[in-house]
Amino acid sequence: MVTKTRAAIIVEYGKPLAVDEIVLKDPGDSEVLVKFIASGICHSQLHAINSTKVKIPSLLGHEGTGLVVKTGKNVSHIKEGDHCIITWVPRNISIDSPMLEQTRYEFRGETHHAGVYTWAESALVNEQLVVPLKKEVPSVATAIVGCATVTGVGAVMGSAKVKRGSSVVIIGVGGVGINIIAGAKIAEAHPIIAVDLTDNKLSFAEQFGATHTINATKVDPVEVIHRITNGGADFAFDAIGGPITIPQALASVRSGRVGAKRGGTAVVVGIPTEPVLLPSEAFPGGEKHLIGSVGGSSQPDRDYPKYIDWFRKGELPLDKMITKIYSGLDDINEGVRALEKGEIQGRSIIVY
Amino acid sequence: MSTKSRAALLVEVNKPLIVDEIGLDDPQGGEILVKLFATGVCHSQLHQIHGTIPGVRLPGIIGHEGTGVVMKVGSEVTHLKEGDHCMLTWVPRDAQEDSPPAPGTQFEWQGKQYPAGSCYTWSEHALINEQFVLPMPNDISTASTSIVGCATVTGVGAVMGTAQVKKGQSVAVIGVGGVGINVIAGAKIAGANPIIAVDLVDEKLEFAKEFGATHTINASTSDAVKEIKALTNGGADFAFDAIGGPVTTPQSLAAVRSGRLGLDRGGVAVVVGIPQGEFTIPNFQFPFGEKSLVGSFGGSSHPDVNYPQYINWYQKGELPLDKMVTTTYTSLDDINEAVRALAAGEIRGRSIITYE
Repeated sequence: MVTKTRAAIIVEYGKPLAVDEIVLKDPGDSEVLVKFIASGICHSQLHAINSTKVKIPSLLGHEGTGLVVKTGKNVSHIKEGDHCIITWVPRNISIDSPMLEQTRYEFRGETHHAGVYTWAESALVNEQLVVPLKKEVPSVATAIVGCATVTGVGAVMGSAKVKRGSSVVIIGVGGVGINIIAGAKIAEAHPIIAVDLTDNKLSFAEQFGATHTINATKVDPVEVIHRITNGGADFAFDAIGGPITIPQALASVRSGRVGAKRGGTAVVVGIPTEPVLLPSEAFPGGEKHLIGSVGGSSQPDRDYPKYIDWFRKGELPLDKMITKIYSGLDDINEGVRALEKGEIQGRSIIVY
Repeated sequence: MSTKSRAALLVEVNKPLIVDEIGLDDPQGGEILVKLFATGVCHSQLHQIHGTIPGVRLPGIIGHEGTGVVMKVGSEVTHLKEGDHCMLTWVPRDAQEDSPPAPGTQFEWQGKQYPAGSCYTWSEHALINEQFVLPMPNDISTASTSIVGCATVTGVGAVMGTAQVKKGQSVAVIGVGGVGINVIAGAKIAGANPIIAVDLVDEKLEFAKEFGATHTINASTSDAVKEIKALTNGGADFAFDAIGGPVTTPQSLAAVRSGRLGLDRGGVAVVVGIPQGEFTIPNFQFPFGEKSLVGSFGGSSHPDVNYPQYINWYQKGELPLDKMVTTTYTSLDDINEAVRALAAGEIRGRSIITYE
């Protein structure tokens, strides 16, 4: 039996996405057929849409929630009728696990391969990217857990392991940045300093726990951070990842004290698109750390239940993070445009 | 009472040092007067002599690793007494996060008083704050232990304190001079395998094997990063950059393994050498692979805790300090020759000066 569904598809470089029919077969052994409830719209998709290296056709989206329609015979952690979170971080791989196999779809009479995608009404997904979600948990706001939350909260808890009372800086407070702020608040960091270029994003950041805000168009953020933290922050998260912000993050963290304590940690979360020049004094004096965080160093089977628990207790306000809801795929090109123009204050989602 | 001593004075950058008499007051408060047995000759002093690092005092007395015997202690010193053997170092022995910096001392030269740095060892006697003086047993060599206070704490400390290398992890060491061989020896003590030494000179690479290098790569004739990846099945767990520079720091980052999404974080590149200039990180190194680039300065060590471990490894033969010392000068008058030989790359391991 086959499933016909609608999906947003890159069909030509530099053109709007096509919303068209794709055809899915029944799930293979390790695959799950999912009918989506909602999907987030993330900056990573803009990178793909604007790239000239992406394959044609391509499916998009990598965070969402859905309903399990059918499972392959090797799938045991989830069953038909269950709710689930779709993500791009494998949920429980081990050191000898093979690379995840791609799924297949048919488009305009030809078969193509795909990784995870959520800008579709239904999808075939490798079971490693399908994490159970209890029925009683709201299934719309949780659409952003699979990327924005795991990336942001994961960077705080998994990559940096922020402890109570640590000082934290967040450079760039979009969808991921506000999750970093929320994660830092859950970890009881203090102060939590948000840095951005627009005042309305900074006041938005205060809703998630930012105790201080710095508009970097008006003052030197590194200098102000050093003043607030009395010599440098314990952690600085760069949610942009660029040639300006990475050196800023490194300069914002405190130096260690020789014989007593190592220096602070700058965490690169955003994705740089060009090489980064670091000053010679950055290392090794001060014993600072510059670390990368992808998928928040997380293990979804272990970590997503914690995120959901914080959400249900009101500590992770996913609802407040979602500031724009599109209904259905037909608005997808408008969703892409608005994100690209910086019109989205937190995260936007599509509800199917 | 004032003590007269001979010292090597840096009076002007890029000029030979002047060996001349200085005067030292009796130790006050937390100060200790030490008669030195031996001192190491370290690359950091070349940076000071050549004026390539900030904060060089002129006139000044340099050197920051050594051994000696305690002549006299100030009233506040309790951890050492007259006649005790000691190690001199530049890492404070039990600093707390919020303790004030240890105060410097003074020396007299040609009738004037000058401030000294926190630690100096190119002098027959030294007046030093107690934070930079560590006890050591009176019955072990006072010559080869003179390199503990910088080369060992920097090298072994980078492995044990900064990186915390575990048994079975793979380690690459770029640059195998005095610090590099201590990184290798530390990696061996930690049970690392493989231990891959990278340098530009075959002779240094051969020497590195004596301390535990299981593989060597001459980076002047092959692609070090590619070879490290081949030897470690995709990248090392740790790469130590004992040079620190625009070439070697990006190399060390490229030489460590990427993490696997959903499973583990990537490898750790440890910058130990002092970069002389800015360096470029290719955009694909962060955040992908979740690698870490960390600085190691004084091996993230706490000397009161760590130096007894180093001495213990030395006594058990696991830290072969004697083999690391490849040139011994027997007089402070040889200091300018020692500096020249180190700058010219003629010193395979570490050179030291022993005093009368």
